[in-house]
Amino acid sequence: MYDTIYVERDIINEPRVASILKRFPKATTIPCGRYSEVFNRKSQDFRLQKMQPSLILAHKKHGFVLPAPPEYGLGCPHNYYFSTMMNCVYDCRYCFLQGMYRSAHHVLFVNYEDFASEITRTVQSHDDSDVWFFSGYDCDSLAMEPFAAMAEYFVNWVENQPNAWLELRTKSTQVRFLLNHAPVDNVVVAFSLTPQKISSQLEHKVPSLKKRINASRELQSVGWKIGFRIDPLIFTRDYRDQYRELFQDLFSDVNPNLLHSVTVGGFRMPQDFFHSMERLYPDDKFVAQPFEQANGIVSYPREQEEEMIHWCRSELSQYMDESKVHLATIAI
Amino acid sequence: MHTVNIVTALSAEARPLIDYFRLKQVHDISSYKVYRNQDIVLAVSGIGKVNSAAATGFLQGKFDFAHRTGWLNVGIAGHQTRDIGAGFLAHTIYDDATGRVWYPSFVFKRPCGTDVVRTVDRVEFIYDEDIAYEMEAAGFYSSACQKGTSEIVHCYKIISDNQEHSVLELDADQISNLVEGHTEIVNSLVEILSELVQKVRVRKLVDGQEEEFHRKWRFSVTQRAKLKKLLTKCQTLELPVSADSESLRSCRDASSVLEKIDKRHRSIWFEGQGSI
Repeated sequence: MYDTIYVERDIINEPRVASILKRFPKATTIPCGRYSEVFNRKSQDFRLQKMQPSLILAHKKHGFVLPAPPEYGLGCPHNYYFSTMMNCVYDCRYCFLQGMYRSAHHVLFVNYEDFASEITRTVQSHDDSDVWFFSGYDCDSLAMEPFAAMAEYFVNWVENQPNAWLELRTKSTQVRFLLNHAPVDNVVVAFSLTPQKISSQLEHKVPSLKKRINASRELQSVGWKIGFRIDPLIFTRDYRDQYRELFQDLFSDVNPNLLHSVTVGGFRMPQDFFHSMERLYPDDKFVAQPFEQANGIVSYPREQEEEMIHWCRSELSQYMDESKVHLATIAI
Repeated sequence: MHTVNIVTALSAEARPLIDYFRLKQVHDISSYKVYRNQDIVLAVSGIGKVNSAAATGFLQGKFDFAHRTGWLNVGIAGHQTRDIGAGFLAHTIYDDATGRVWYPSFVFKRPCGTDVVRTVDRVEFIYDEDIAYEMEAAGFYSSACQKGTSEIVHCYKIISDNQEHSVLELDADQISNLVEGHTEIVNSLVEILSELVQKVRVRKLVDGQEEEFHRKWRFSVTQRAKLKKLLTKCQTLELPVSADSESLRSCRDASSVLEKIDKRHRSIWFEGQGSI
């Protein structure tokens, strides 16, 4: 998977680093100072790097857990996110990660213990209230699991933190660890889904919809809490047919009554990120669409977005209680 | 338009490459010895990182149209342990004098191994560390990356001296012989870089198309940028827009042209099937 792995010199002998390097015996290991020397430098071409990204193993020094914007969440007032990785193995054309960083290399912060300590401190700061922690903002939560074992670490951690809730958001089907682990009550595995025809066009390297539905069904069948993230909704002239088919496929396999939550949301991206995408992918049909730009955000025209969201919520209400369906108004 | 620039320090390093790629000298350049064919431009910079950086900058100004060409530094190096004649790409480049460091980015399957390269200001005889020592890579790399993108800038080094064979024993013929043994691999690298360059170049979609519009209407700088963006989007969405089209015939100025194209662009959405 990786031909080149950069490792911060200070952590090269850490057991977690050694165990990851062992998974890639053919890769060239290149020691570096700070990860930023490789990741943040100028003169990088994201699109070229995306063809064959390298892995960078590093330590994060600060900013382990960050507050989510007020509009974000699943109804609980205390929401945070954390990112043990930067960048994603997948290549989804609507994803803000295409325009966020200069580099497409995958950074993995291996000091999970520091993230976990910060999660504990954050939970304690809210007394006995529930606190949500969202993983999967700067990355996919499960795609690197076979070698990163990030979900494994944090699932085991929050299991002993009664007020902490963890959402693992993913497009991956790497659920073997979860299937071998007893379900944890305060963990939700949230699958991002898009109709297959749209996925084939926009979600490069992502497992098929069928495989993702199968993975969610398997997890649900052994007792894990499952969520679906129909976000972003992608407009096509026949979007109703496409999303209707998606919901039919989904709920013929997965029990909607046992679902933890579903979110729906439009395509929204900070304009600076979108402009980077326009430069990177001028030949991409999705990026070339006539989106609107207002208050620093690029999105579908308001009426079009509202119409899609309204239709999807109403369609979903045929399958489940409306209280389970949340509106995602912001992408953190 | 050529695709790859090669910079060598010495004529002896350049000679086998000139022969292999059948490069012809460009006679109207006096600052450097420059050779070329349809795909490659090669310059002999002289020894040292300053010369290498200067020659690279010179080629950028003279030949690197819109900064979309690949760059390759080919040259000899010393090493503590590697055998004479070993060749490799630099994966880390240290500038010994400034402490600066670069990590060339590999977005391709490497046709050879890699190693650390330390650029020194004086010829190295001691080889303190088990890495390569040479005198140009840092100057070349920093200069080539200033305007281009680092994925298409690389340094290929061939070991000419080590602890058992001093650099002082080298003559021009020996250097040429060493490089001659690596022309195939240099060719592979040129091919790899050319392929990457093509991927970068195809992103400039509307080259020339906007000229038709500029001939008919007067666009301000801002309007030109907007026109280019709109034409790119329309072309991507397979929405034909021509300066000669019926609908634009009535437009008196650039603003109304942009308004009409914008309106046309707003009529179309992605259909999830690749067709609009």
